[in-house]
Amino acid sequence: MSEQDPIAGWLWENRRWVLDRFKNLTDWFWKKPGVASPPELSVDPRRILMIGSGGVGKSTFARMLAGDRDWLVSAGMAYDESIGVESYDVDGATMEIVVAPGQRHRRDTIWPELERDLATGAFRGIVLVVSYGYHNIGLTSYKRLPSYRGDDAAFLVEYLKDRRKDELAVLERLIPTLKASTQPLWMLVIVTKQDLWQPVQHDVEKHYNSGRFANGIEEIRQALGNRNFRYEQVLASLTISNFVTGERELLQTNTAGYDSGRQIESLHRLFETLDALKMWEGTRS
Amino acid sequence: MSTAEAVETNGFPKKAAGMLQEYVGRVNSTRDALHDLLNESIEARSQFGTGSPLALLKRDLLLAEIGSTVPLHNAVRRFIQRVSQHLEHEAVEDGNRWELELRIADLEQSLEGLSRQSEAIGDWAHRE
Repeated sequence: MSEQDPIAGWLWENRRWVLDRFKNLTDWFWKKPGVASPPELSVDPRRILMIGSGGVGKSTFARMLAGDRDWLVSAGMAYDESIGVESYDVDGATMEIVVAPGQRHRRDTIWPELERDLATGAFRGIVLVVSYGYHNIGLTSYKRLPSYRGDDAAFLVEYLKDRRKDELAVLERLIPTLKASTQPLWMLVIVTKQDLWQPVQHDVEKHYNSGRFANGIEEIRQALGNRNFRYEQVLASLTISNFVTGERELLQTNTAGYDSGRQIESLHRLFETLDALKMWEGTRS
Repeated sequence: MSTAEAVETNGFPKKAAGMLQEYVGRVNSTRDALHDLLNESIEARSQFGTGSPLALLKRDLLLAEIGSTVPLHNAVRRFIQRVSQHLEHEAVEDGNRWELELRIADLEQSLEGLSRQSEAIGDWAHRE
């Protein structure tokens, strides 16, 4: 598998247009007519926790919300794994987003403190980031992974299945903590990398809206009640890029025809959902 | 034996454990060196005044030392990421996993310390 990445090239050549489109979108979100901007609405000073498996797009999303435009032009570049808790100020520091590192070996050392804060109501909302198994593989080759047994196509199927199990493990780990939350809380599940899985979107929707994943969400809702728990889900593409390893091996090209227009549409849906969550917070105060 | 298992026997965990340990030492030495330069800078300011040639020289040396830690910081961070991906995705024997998890936490702590120390000292040096 060798990589050729026309998408990254296209984004680079059209970066000004794409960034302008995105700027309009964020301006709309933060300054939407008739909707209070965060400083006026910031009755809830609590932080937002962004969590999920490693390589699903948590830091990308946090950087995007924090107004860091580089996230887009860096599409197609190598995955830069976060090695600790990251904190981002959003909209002039009126909102703080805390990003938990997602690797399994960091969960038992770094997550307990965040989970305690979650249970005691230190976070107003939690963003669980998943990607239908398309978790970035950092500085290694897919040929070193247990799912690889000499067959590239079989590897990808096995790898994605394994990573979806890990996404579920993250949710199931969080359920007891979320059920114990002492404060109203919203939860947003973002299914990222739509540009990679869009041809099987029906399967993706089924995966996250039925079975163990949906049951887990329902369990939290029943424990907290509709008044204290608001759940939303968005399918999105934060960046458009092929699925490559840190050694630049191409595992899957992105979906033909999934262009920046569709990406912007998905981000628009994401911002609308965030807006709905802000409104819900307003009704709770 | 799968391809992945064969790779695990290549000796990466042992090599990585040794390097993690070695670089905890390197990073901590760098932190100590920064601390020494900071003390010298404070002393020069205290004895000869903030704007004195010696104080300015010590400040410049301190800032140069901070700047020179960046490549080391980036290289160590990249190495941590490589080991982390080994733990996250590759087949790792249980004993090796425990050792690497502990050593990677140790190096991350040192690197975080270097990062915060550099930032704090840099802010201090620029303030005066």
